[in-house]
Parts: sequence; C-alpha cells; structure tokens
Amino acid sequence: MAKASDVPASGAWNRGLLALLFLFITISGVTPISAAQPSNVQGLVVAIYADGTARVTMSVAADPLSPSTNVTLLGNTYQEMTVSDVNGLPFRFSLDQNNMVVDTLGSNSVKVSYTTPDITNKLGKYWSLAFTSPVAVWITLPENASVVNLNKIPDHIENRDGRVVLLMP
Amino acid sequence: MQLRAQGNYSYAYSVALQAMQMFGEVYGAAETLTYREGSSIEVRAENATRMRAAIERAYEFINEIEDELNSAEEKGYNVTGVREALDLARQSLANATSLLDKGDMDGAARSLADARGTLGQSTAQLQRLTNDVESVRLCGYLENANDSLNRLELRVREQLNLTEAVRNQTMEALRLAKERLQLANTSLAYGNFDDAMRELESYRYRYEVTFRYMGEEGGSVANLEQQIAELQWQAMDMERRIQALNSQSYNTTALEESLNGTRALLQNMNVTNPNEAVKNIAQVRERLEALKDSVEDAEGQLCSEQRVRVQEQIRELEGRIAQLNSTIAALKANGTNVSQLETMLQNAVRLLEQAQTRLASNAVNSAEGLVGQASAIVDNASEMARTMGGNHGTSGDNQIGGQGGQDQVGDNQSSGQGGYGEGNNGKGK
Repeated sequence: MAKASDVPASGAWNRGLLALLFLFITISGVTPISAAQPSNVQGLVVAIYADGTARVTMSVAADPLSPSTNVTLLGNTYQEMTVSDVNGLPFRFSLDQNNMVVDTLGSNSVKVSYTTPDITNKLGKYWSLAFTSPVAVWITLPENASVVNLNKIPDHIENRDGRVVLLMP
Repeated sequence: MQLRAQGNYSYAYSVALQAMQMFGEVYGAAETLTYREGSSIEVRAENATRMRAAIERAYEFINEIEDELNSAEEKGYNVTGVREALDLARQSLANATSLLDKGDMDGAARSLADARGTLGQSTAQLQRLTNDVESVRLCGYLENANDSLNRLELRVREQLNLTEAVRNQTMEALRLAKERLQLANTSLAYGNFDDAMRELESYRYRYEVTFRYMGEEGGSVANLEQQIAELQWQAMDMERRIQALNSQSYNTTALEESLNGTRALLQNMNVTNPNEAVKNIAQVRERLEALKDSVEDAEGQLCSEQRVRVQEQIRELEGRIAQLNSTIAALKANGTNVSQLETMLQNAVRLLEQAQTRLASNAVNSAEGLVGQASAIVDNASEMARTMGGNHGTSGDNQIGGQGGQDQVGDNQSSGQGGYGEGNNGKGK
C-alpha cells in the first residue's frame, strides 16, 4: 500500500509522466438516424483530461416546430452527461447507442455535454485523438501535454492556463 | 424489470439508467482503489494523476448541473434538494483534493467515492426536476401547435382558393393532426410523457401532410403558409426570451411592442395575393431578425452587468481572505491551532478559482453561485477567527465542534467543511 511518506506531497505528480500527445482528427459529415429532426451540429468543444477521457460539449440546432431532435454523439460510452436548452434548462432525452433523441419541444438549440473514454487511444506516453466532426472543433489538451503530430493544420493555437488549445478545421 | 413487465417503459428505462449509473459509481470507486496493486512510485503517481482527473471531471459535472439549477431556480423551480446534494459532493471533492495533496491516497479515494455516490443521487433528483421542466415545455408546445393549427384551419376553410376535394382532404388531415394534439394533452394530464411525445411526432407528420395536400394544388400558397407557420414559431420563441428578460427585471416594453407589431403583421398576412405575401413575409423575417439582435443585446447587457457584479464580489472576497490570512498568521504566532481556519480559507480560494474559470466560460450564473458559497465560508471563518482572537487558549477544534456541531474534529478537511456546511446543519441535516 502507498504510504504518505513514499509520495511527494504536492499536486504535481503527473509532471513528466504525461508528456506527448499524438493528435489525429478526421472531419466528415454526420448521418441522421431516426424520424426525429436530424442532428445539425453548430459548435463542438473537446477537452482532454489527464486520465485520457474527454469532455465533449456540442451545441446542436433544433427545429422549433419539431417535438424532438436527433443528436449523434462522439464515442459509445458516456458519463457525466447534461443536456440543456439555450437558457440552461434541462431536457429529457433517450439514448440508443450513440444516437440521442432530445425532447426539444419548441426550442431552437440543444447543448449536450458528457465525458467519454472512446475518442482517445493511449499507448504509454503516446496518445492519439480521433473522431469525426461536421464542424470546426476546439480542442483543449491536458496540462503538460505536447502535440507531436496532426492530420490537419489548426486554424488557431493558443496556450490557456498552461494548456494547449487548438481550433481544428 | 418489474416496471418493464407492467409496460412502464419510460420509468423502467430511467430506473435502469440510474442502476447503471450506480454500478458505474461503484465500479469507478473500485477502480480508483485498485491503486493498491501498484508498488512503484510511477504507478502511484499515475494513480494520483487519474484521481486528480476524476476530481476535475466531477467538478466540471457539478458546475454544469449547477448551471441548470440556477436557470431552473430563476424560473421558480424548487432545486433545494439537488443543490444540497451538489454542495455535499463538492465538499467531498475538496476533501479528496486536500488528502491527495497530503499524499493520503486511501482517504482521497474514499472521499472521491463519496462524491461520486452523492452525485449519483443528485442525478436521480435532477431527473425529477427535468420532468417538471419538460412538462411545462410540453404545455407551451401544445399551446403553440394548437394556435398554429387553428390559424391554418381558418385559412383552409375560408381564405385559400382550393378545390372542394383538396379542401376536404386538407381539412381531414388537419382534423387528424388536432386529434393527435388532444391525445398528447390527455397523455400529459395522466403524466405519461412518452405517449404524449409519440402523439406529438404523429401530429407533426400529419401537420406536414396538410401542406403536402395543399401543395398539390396551390403549390406556392402551401409554401407561403408553411413559411408563415415557421415565423409564428420564431415569434413564440422570441416571446419566451423576452419573458425571461422581464423576469430578471429588464425593461422589455420596447421589445414587447416590436414583437406585438410583428405578430399583428403575421396574423393579417394574406396569401391569396402571393406577391404581396412574399413581401410581407420578408418584412416579418427582417423584423424578427432585428428583434432577435435586440434580445441578444439585452441578454448580453444583463450578463455583463452580472459579470461585473460577480467580479467585484470576487475582488472583495479576495481582500477579506488576505486580511484573514494576516489574522491567522498573528493567531499562529500566539500558538493557536489554526489548521481548520486555514482549510476553510483554502476551500474558499478554490471556490473563487472555480468561479473565475466559470466566468471565463461565460457561465456567469454558476460563477455567482460559487462566489456565494465562498462568501459563506469566509463569513464563518471571520466569525471563527474573531472568537479565537478573544480566547487564544482555546483550540480551534473545540471552537469548530461548538459552532458547527461537527464530530470529525480530528479531520482537518472535514472540520473545515463544518464551517462551510453550517447552513446545512442549521437546516437539520
């Protein structure tokens, strides 16, 4: 068992362990699935945590005339999910694999947030990030991570609070 | 399974989902605790990294649920139960972070598991809140759909130039669409949300069929009617947003006048003269766009006023924390045990840091909520410091035990939350 004396009493254990991140993103269209209004993604943000899971936040346009809206999610397993309208009020939803049907009932947009381990691949210090997106994506990397490869040139790169943030076209 | 056998699929699904979530929590907690298997420093460090990430994720989840709660509270929903659960989860996470900082992996893992368990419970409570919100939303949708159908029915019956056969066919489609709306209404009255949604999908299909029938003969007229219907829904959405501004004490008179004018134009739209209708539709669209810009400006203005207020509160609290740190240093010099006070201030600082992060993400309501919590902690810490200042011989632990009724006096973080959780104690926790 770990003893308190064996480990450094600071918040920086991960420094040096999480070093390199190989980033690979493919952009393509999204296919509508059911009778509900198909997904029309307007914005996508992906934040990678130090454990390799990713927080996905997407905003999707909804047809106010349609009672429900389809949203195609990234990944296959989801945790810590919230689904809300433009005013931040929660929506009811149902899930069938990676297809979500949201009861939008007159609202014109949906914000979906969740954590998924499925879009990252970890091989020791080398991680890859791969998914399909119909729109440009903001990606936030974990602290101390470096990008060693990209499949596309980012539209924007910045450092925000010690984290690399990329806008992928 | 019992619920499923009874045919209550929606509730069965919800309960199954919760069961899976609980399994997830337990599995997650067990996974967190497997760090014991590792012996090398690298393995332990990796476990600590994973635990920190899990804590960060949980905080993010809490912040997002809190955004929903703030919005729901503004609309008059009772969110007390969920909010208390979130506060508890946040306390457990602060505890986990503090223990992790001290290298106590066992304790940190337990606190993290506590936080996850509490979050699982809050998710179930949030589900009930969501059902309440969605019922209101569904009522609004039914009302709008009904208005839209009535308007269309009037036009088909009296105004549109259709042959008798097409008129009858269209009227029948409208009747069936109305029937679906009534069935949806009945399902909602019985609390059967899933059935109501199924009827609404059916209504929507029949509503579109109506335009298809009209289109077979009147082509452009059907298309114009469909555009008018869509603009009406946009106007309804504007009305909701204006009402939201009004509920935040914003003067919405000009916005309401503009909306009423636009609605009157829509109401009196005559598609029997297509050229004129096209012009009027373009005019309404333009007015709705302008109104949307004005509403967005007003929303932005309210948000930036709130942002400034929250930033001022953060600065004020930072000043008070700095003063308290000086007091703590003086008390420490006199030999007083101030560890609990220090922990309370660390919690307050953490909350303020989170509030800054939320502000940066434009989640101003959530930031304000966090600042409120930090303020309560600082108030308690000030009171405790004042008491300690008057009696330096008394230990901080005893002071906390006396004030908050906490029994975990030996645990720095828990007793720190004693001050944080005094409000809860007062509510008979």
